[in-house]
Amino acid sequence: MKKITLTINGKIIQAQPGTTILEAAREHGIQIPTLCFLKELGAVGACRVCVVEVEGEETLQAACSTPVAEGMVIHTDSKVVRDSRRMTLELILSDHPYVCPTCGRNNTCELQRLADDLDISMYFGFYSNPAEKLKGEQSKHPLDDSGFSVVRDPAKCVKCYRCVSVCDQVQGIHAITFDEKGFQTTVKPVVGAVLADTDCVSCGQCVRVCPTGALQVHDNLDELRAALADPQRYVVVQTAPSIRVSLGEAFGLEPGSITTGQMVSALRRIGFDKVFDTNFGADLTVMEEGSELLERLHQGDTLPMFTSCCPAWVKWVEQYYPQYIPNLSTCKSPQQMFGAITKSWYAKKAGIRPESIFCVSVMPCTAKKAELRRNELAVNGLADVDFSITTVELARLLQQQRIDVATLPEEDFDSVLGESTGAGAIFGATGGVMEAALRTACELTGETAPASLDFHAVRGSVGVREAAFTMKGKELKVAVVSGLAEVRKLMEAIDAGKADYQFVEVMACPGGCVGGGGQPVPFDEEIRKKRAAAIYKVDESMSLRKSHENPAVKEVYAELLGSPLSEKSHELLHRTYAEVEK
Amino acid sequence: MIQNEKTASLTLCLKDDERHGKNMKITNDWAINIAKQSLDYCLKESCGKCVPCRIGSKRAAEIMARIENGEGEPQDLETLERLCKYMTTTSACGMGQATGNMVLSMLPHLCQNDTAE
Repeated sequence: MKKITLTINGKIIQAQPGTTILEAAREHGIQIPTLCFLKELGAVGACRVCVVEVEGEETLQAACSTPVAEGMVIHTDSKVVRDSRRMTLELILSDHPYVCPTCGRNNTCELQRLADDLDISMYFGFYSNPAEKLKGEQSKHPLDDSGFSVVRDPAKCVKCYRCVSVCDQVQGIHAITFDEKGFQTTVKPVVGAVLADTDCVSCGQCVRVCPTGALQVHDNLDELRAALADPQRYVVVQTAPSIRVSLGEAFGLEPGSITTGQMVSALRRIGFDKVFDTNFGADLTVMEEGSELLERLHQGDTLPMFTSCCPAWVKWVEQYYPQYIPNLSTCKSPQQMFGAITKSWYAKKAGIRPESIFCVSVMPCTAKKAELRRNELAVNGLADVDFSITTVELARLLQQQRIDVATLPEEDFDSVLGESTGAGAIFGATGGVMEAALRTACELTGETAPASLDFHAVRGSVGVREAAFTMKGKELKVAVVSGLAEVRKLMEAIDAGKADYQFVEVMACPGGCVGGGGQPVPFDEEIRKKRAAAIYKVDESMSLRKSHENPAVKEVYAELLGSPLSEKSHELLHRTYAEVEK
Repeated sequence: MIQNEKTASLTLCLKDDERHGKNMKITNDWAINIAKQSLDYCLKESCGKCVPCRIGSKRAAEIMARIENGEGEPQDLETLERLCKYMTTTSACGMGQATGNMVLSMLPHLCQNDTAE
């Protein structure tokens, strides 16, 4: 197609027809500030921060939503544009609480950054409060900390539409919506007064996209500090597969930097008694879940079998497709399996009372905070896991103590629950659970070892991927899906009998755990892909890449469990589900 | 360039007027009524999507109310002018743009009346 010629800031450039002014400008290195715009969710044009002057037009145009046209002459940084942007910021700030130093998004807030970029402090003069200039009524809405995962503070909301869009389009949950109009406009739960009244599955994608502190992770680090300071408590930490490839971002490292060793030494410096690896739990999950799949295939039980690692997905099934609960693997998630083994086998081995163990997990996930409170996930009344923090919270904890992950020496995980394989590592990316299970299942069935351990067909970032393998002469059809809106489409197909898979891996967040709601913000698909690539690099660098070769896993089976799906396994590592009343 | 001829002289008029002290009160009823009515309409009808209309109209109405109650300060008129120009140029649709224009075209009348006394 013929390209369009236009002029931006005196520079003649060419752009594809249909692109917006913003896209064309960014392509040519001309930066236009934005606030509500997020590439993956499409343009809204609500905040008016990206306005530019188009010659011949009476009004300023929003660069994010105005397509380029032949012969356009555009000024992105003229006085009238700068004044307009500053007034926009001035108005937003006049209806925004001044609590930056105590806000969880201090230093990562996009509004704060924008105020800095537009030099608002110079504009107002030092020591003057922008709210003074345009003083007036501020919108008042109550804080909603009803859930264990997400805290909503509508007073800090800038009405950018991102959370509503991500909940509607990407996750298909529709838990939050706009209410009222004009100055009273607010984002609120679609039913009831608080998020807990809605279908919210605590995936945290709204937290990920929120430019300010209006949506934040439920933070109770004081409880963790108290446990760490208590000499009576034996505080054990486990780190999810995707933390090691994203934590560095919070310390200025390039996305995709692998900081496994630094993360371990940082956790030791905080004062954890033992630093273990959720990857061990993941390896254990592969053993149980792989065996469960083979048993279901062999006995002709309910198929397809769905993975059950993702707590947001589990809640999703329970509330939308309860008739498919029997299809969920009965395996606990790696986080919970790890906790159960820590408080039984490890406690006995190390001579520690299980009750004195405080099991902490570092997760990329907001839903894990809710998962660990579920009654089904305890053995003899003792919760498997006591506390979960997100990657963002860990970064904050470290920054508060001036521990810089980027410069720390590398250290190894503690023995024995720090042992893991590459199969456990890839749980952090969509398709990883599937691939890890296939590696082990192929060998458990006595199939000749596959020539390559890399099942490329299940990797990638497309919403739904399917593949077929032959196992014992039979065809095994599998699917991998991430992002709950994609999940819904797949479930509808399965329910309508249009898809006949035997095994389906589901992750609620697009891209899997590397794209989790608790990961360092802001991030987009590009960064997510870099994190996933780093995860596969971790896998490749491991000497052991199949879960059943994990020496710690072998030890646990030899000393405690016997074999996968044994009675003891069922007691410790398997679970039940609850149908959610709607 | 985006300019409004009617209001070009407003800033000058304010600066030249030495009687502008604190607690200035402007009582040109018809002009203030038109400005107030258009702002009230905007407050009621704004969909709340874009910042100029959602917060801009609210702040403009608050300034108007201050002026009317005799609590206005000279800089209030300047702010109001700046705000309305901004609403006119930056609002996403005709709602905020027209409201900005309406109030903007009333400003010289408020001012003229005041200086003529």
